[in-house]
Amino acid sequence: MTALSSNMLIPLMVIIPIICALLLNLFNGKDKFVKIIAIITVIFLPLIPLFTNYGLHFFGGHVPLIDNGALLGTLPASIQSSIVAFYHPAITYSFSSLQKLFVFVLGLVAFSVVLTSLSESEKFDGAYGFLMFMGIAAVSALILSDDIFHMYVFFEIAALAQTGIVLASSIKNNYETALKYMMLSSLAAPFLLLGIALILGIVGSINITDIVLAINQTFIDPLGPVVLLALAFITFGWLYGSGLPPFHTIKSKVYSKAMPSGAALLQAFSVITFVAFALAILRIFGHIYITQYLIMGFSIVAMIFGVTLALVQEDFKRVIGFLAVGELGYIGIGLALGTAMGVAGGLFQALNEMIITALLFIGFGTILYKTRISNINELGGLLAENPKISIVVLLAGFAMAGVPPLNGFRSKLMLMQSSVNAGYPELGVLMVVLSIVTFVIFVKLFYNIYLRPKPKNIPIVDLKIPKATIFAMVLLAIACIVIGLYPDIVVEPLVQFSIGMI
Amino acid sequence: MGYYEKLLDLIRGIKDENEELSSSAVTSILTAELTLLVSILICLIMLRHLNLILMVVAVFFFLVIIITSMPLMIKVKNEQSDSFDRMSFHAIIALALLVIVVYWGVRFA
Repeated sequence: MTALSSNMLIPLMVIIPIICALLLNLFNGKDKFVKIIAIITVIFLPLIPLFTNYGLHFFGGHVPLIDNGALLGTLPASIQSSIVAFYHPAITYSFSSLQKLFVFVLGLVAFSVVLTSLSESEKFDGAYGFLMFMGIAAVSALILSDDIFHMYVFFEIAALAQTGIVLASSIKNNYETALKYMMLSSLAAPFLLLGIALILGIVGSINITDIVLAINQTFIDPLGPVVLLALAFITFGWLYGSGLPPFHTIKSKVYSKAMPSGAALLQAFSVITFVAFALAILRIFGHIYITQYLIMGFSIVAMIFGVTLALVQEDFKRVIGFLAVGELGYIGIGLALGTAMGVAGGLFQALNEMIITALLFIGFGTILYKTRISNINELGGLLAENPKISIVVLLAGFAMAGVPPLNGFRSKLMLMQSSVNAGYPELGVLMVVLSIVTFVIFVKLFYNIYLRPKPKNIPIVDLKIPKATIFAMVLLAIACIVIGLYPDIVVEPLVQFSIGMI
Repeated sequence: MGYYEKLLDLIRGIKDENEELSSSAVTSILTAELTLLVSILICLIMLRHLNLILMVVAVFFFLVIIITSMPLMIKVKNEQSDSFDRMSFHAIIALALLVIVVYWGVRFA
């Protein structure tokens, strides 16, 4: 297979879930057919990045002018010698070790989520499947795209898909939460678009590589007021998309108002949105020293609020929601450190978080499946109901708290070492403190749900946990253990990417 | 009145009358309170990277806040509620702070 034909696989990571989404919507009601399409697609999703070569994909085949000598020769000399000759006229997808890992893990999470969703519902709703696959396509495009306006478009699609997933759940007050989320989107998204428009206005391109080139060659004033305002506005949009403060409350609420399997997917969307936009911000505005401090500051606040507010919640879905927001902070700190090891550690943490939080949502989702209760004060003694599942849930909790030798331990240790090496030992101490508290939260959750005496009035539904759900959980748990025991399979490609980026 | 009794009264104040006040809820809020204090203190120590005097002043100021306003966690929990008014207020404040810090922070630093 030639490099060119392999690169044609790059857009398929977005196109296939979109086609699947459209088919699911089209054939909504034909239950068996819809299930078959969904299963085939989620089997292929993690496989595509494994068979794709690294490289670029130019939509429409429009390569930069500098690579198209025949066309460039026909243009005026003033264009041939200008920066415009280096610009990318096409929407460009970039596929490297980073994208390979993220799309693969997204595929793994999507596989687990769709499997769980199919098995736990009597009839799979095609419209719900449409929303899930549109979300998957949107975040895949976010991580692949080198075009910031293209990222904005898929950012909006992801936000709509997330709202739809909440609306499609049958949880009390889900409509109110979805409406609040959309209204906050109408506040944040226009500022993101305005930031992008400001950059387009001064650079003349929305390709991130072109923008970086224009800044490096001082084609524009790198510290000009327009650039600074663009940084503020794009950062604000990023805060909303990722669920960092001040949007942490609504994001955790969104997770708690989706079905557990849906929430597992939503958190993966948030992590990828976080990483894609944080990397774009660092690439474009990395020359402004305050950028790193901004990312670091919001990440620290997210960690503190995420963990402390998780402690005082009584709904286990909300607890995991707040913890998921808090874990984003670790990723941000790694990226903000700006060292190769720090960036790699942050990205490693992002991958681990996607797996661990998905496992937690699906695992605790089995409690909801059996009891229809999510308030931990009303639960207890469920260890006897299904001891094997409780062990997997405990393992996920340990992984999130950073207990060795699981994957969360590896990434958090890497981040702590990076922060000390970068001259911020306080961050290392903060991470240790918050990891200990995360452990405390899990002990509390596990005790309240599984270990304490069973309340007399718990209504346990006479349904067995579907084997597909157990399989999905075991798959994610194996990923936690394997990455924990052999972290180099993930860390080495990420370090290579980080060195290249810095 | 001791600190623990004061905390219990405050927690009762934010809970429904019919809701049982469990020891788990009280210890959770206490743990969250200590975590919050420790975390803020560590963050303030990080100000040494900007200015040592600023760090000392900020830590001193924070100690005064601790003495006068504890427990903070209940106030934080109330403030971080699901009220849309508060969410949008925080979002607008964050946007304003972002613009101020980025625009004037860089231009006049």
